[in-house]
Amino acid sequence: MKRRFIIGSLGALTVAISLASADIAAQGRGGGGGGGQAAAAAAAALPTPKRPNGVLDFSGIWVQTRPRAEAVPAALDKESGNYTNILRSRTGSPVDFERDSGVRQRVVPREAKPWYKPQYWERVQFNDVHGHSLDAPDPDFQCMPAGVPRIGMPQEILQTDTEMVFLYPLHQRRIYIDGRPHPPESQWIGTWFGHSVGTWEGDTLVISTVDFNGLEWLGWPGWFTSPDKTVTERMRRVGNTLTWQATVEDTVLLRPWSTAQQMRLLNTDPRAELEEPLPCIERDLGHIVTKERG
Amino acid sequence: MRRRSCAAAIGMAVTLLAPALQAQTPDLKQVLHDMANSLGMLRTLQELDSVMTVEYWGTGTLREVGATIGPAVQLKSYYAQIAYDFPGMRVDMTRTTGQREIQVVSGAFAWNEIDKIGGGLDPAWASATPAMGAVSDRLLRLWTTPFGVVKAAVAAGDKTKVTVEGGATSVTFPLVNGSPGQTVYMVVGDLNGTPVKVTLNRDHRPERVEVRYHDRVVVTTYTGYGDLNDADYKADIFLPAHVVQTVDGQTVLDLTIQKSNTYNPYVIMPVPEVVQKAR
Repeated sequence: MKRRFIIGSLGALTVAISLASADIAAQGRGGGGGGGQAAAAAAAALPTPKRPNGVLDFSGIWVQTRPRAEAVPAALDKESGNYTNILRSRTGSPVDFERDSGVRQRVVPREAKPWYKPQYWERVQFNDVHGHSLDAPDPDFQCMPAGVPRIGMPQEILQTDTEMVFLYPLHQRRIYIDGRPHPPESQWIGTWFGHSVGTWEGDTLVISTVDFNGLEWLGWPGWFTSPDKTVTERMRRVGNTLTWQATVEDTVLLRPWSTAQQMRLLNTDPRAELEEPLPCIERDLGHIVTKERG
Repeated sequence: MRRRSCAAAIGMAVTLLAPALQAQTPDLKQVLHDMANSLGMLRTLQELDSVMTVEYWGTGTLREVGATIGPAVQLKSYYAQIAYDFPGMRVDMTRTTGQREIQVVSGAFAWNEIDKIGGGLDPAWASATPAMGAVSDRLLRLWTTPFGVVKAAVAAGDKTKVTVEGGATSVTFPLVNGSPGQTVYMVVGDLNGTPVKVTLNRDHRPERVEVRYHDRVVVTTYTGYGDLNDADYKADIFLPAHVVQTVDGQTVLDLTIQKSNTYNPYVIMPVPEVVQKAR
C-alpha cells in the first residue's frame, strides 16, 4: 500500500515499477502464479488435501489470481527497451494520475463501506482528507502494519496440528488451532494483528481475532478502528484454491462490516520461494505539499 | 391569403432545411459524454463515471415552497451531502436566526435530523423525525443537480433526446428508475416519468434545468462552474458557484457555493428505525 504514496517524491513511473515488482514478488520464484477465472476453475477441480489429523491442509504459497497484465497497465517494448507508462488516469499519463486515482479509490458503493455511527462520520472524513499527514496518519502510509483484516490473505501458510503461521510481506501472524481460548480481556495488550484462534466449521477455518491496538485502519479512505474491534475470518480451501473473507465488529460501527471475498491459487512449483520484500521506509511525508493522494 | 403563402413558404423552407438541421443534431452519446467529461466525472482510460458522493458548502437565501411561496430567509450556512449510488441527499441549513434544519432523503425515505447530522441512528446521538411527504421534492433536488442530470439522462436510455435550439444544446428525458452503472442506482419514486429539460452552456455543462412537476415549473440555473475544492485538494471536478432556483418564475433559492469536496467523501444516509416504521 505504501507504494501508492511514493509518487510524491519519486514520481508515477516509480509507482508503476514498484507495482510490477510487488506482483512479481507475490508469484514467488519458480512462477506458477497468474491465471484468471479459467485457472481458478481448474485449480478448484483438483483434490483437496488433508493432513493426517483429518483437517484440511492450507500449507503452501498462495498467489493472486489477477493476471499481471491487468494489475500493471504498462507496456515494455522488448526490442527498443522503451517503457510506455499507462497509468489509471484519463489520459493514461502520470499528470492526471494522482487526482484520478484519488477519485477512483474512493468509489465504494454504500453497501461496501463500513457504516460508522454518526458521531464518527466527521472523523472518517477528516482521516480521509488528511490520511497522508501527521494530522490523521494512515498507518499503512507510515510503514506501520496494516493490521487485520486490511492486510488481506497471506502469501504463505505454514501449518502444524496446533497452529498456523501466516506470512505476509514484512509481517507474520500466528493462528492457534489447538482449541485454546483467547486470553482474558484483562491480559490484552493491544497489538496490530491481535490474538487469533482458529476452529473448524466443516472444511472452513474460522479465525477469531481480538486484542487490537485501535491504530489500524480498515481501509484507505479514513476507515479507522477502535481497540474494541473483533474480526472473524473464514478461509476455505477447495482443490488448489483458497478463499477468504473477514467480518469486522466494532463499537464505532452501526453494523458489522465485511471485506470483499478474496481468492488465491496454490503455487504448485515444489521449488517456489518467496522473495524478501524491500523494507518500508517513510521518506515522503516531508515532501507532500497538497492533500491530494492517489 | 398573404398569411397562408407565408406559412407555405416557411413550411417549404423547413422541408428543404430538414436534412441540414438533422445533420446538425448532435449525437446523443457524444453529448452525454461531453456533459459528464466537462464536469470531470469520467476517470481512467475507460472513462468511467467516478463521481459517487460529493459535499459542498455555501450561503444564500431560501423561500419555502408549499401551497404558497413563503418569505425569503437568509441562510447563514448551507451544507449538502449527496450520495448518487443509493441515492441519498442531506441538506443542513442554518438560518441567520440560528434555526437549523437537516433534511435527508435516502431512497424511498425522507426525514429530518434534529440538532445533529446522523440523528436517529444511535440512541446516544440525537433523533430524527419522519418526513415521508417530502420524498419526491428531495429526490427532485438530488436528480436536478449537475451530476444528477447526467446520471438521470443516461438512466433514461433511449427515452433521452438531444436538440439544438438557438445554438444551445438541450437534453430532454423523463426521470426513471434504473441502474445505469456502478455509481448510481436511480430511485425516483413518484417522480417516475417527470420530464426534465437540461440546457447546456458552451462548455457542455448543465446551465438550466427545467422540470414540470405537480403543475409547477421548477427551473434551476447553474453558473460559475469551477473546481471548488480547497486549493490543496483539487480534483478537476466542477461544480457551479451560483445556483438559482425558481418555481413558476419566483426565486425560491439563491445559493452561492463556496467550497466542495468532490473526492467521493464518506457520505452515508442509513434510514433510522423510526423512519422505516413510518412508511
